[in-house]
Amino acid sequence: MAMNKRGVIEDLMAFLVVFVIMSIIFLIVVTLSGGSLVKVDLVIDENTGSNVCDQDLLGYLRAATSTNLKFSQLATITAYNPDAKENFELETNASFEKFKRGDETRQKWYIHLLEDNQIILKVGTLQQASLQDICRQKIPSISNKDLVVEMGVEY
Amino acid sequence: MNKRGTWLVYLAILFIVIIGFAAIFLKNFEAQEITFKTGEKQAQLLSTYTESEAIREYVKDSAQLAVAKTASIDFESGENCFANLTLKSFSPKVKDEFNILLLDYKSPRLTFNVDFPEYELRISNAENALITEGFGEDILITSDINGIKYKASAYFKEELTCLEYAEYLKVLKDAQ
Repeated sequence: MAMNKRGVIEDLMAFLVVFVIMSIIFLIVVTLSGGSLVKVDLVIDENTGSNVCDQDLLGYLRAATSTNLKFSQLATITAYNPDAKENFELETNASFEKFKRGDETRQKWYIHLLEDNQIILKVGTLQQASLQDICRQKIPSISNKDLVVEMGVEY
Repeated sequence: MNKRGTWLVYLAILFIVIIGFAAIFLKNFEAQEITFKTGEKQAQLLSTYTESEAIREYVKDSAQLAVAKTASIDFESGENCFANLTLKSFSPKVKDEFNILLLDYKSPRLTFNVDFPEYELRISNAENALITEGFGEDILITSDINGIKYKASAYFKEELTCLEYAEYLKVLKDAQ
């Protein structure tokens, strides 16, 4: 009887050992087949944001104002004529009321008009945007100064 | 020790050896981090395309401004504002103004170089408007990154109406 009991325990021990060995073999196979021990990260290019911004800025510059001028043309005129600033602000605000990304209207944006890298006009509520969400476009100038329109958006 | 007991000892030794190998194996293959950066070239291509669109806009706006600037010397706004315009003497002056504006272009996307072609401008008079057409070889855009080259069509056709001219004239008179 005692002999039989010891035989059962030994059988159980043998089973346990085989079980552990099989588990290790299983673990090795899983590891070799590229299992959970390899962490894979997929990083999308960080400039993607500014590409979207560029397209939005181009869309804005090409859009027509109430006098049928394009915003790029209005910006050229406004930079030379301080009296036109109010009209530029009104037209820009009206244009951005329809500014959407997906279904959501974007409230936080700005348009800056820069002359020789100095801001001469600010429109919009956003104070600062991250670097990849800022984009610029050069427009022709009546004077010989470098004229650039900058857009910042919180995407 | 009976037969079964001996077998268990061998198994235990085997077990320890396997655990040892497994430990070495796992140490060599411990969690690796692999990072794939994707979309860099695609983003660059998209930027090239955006640059070409932006340049074409700049060219068109430059043509409009060049026409308005040249006309502002002799012509007032209003109905049929360009009716008395003599194209033969007008066109070369517009071309000069236009070329100055093109020379002034700098891409805000700093990795790009832009080569404009020698433009030929054809200006025609329409009712209440001047139509400017630009012809030339393609605009060449090259990028320092990835060596991307892109050719944008140089052709454009723009109309400056008397209404638009009136807006320009308000400031151009002051500029003279």
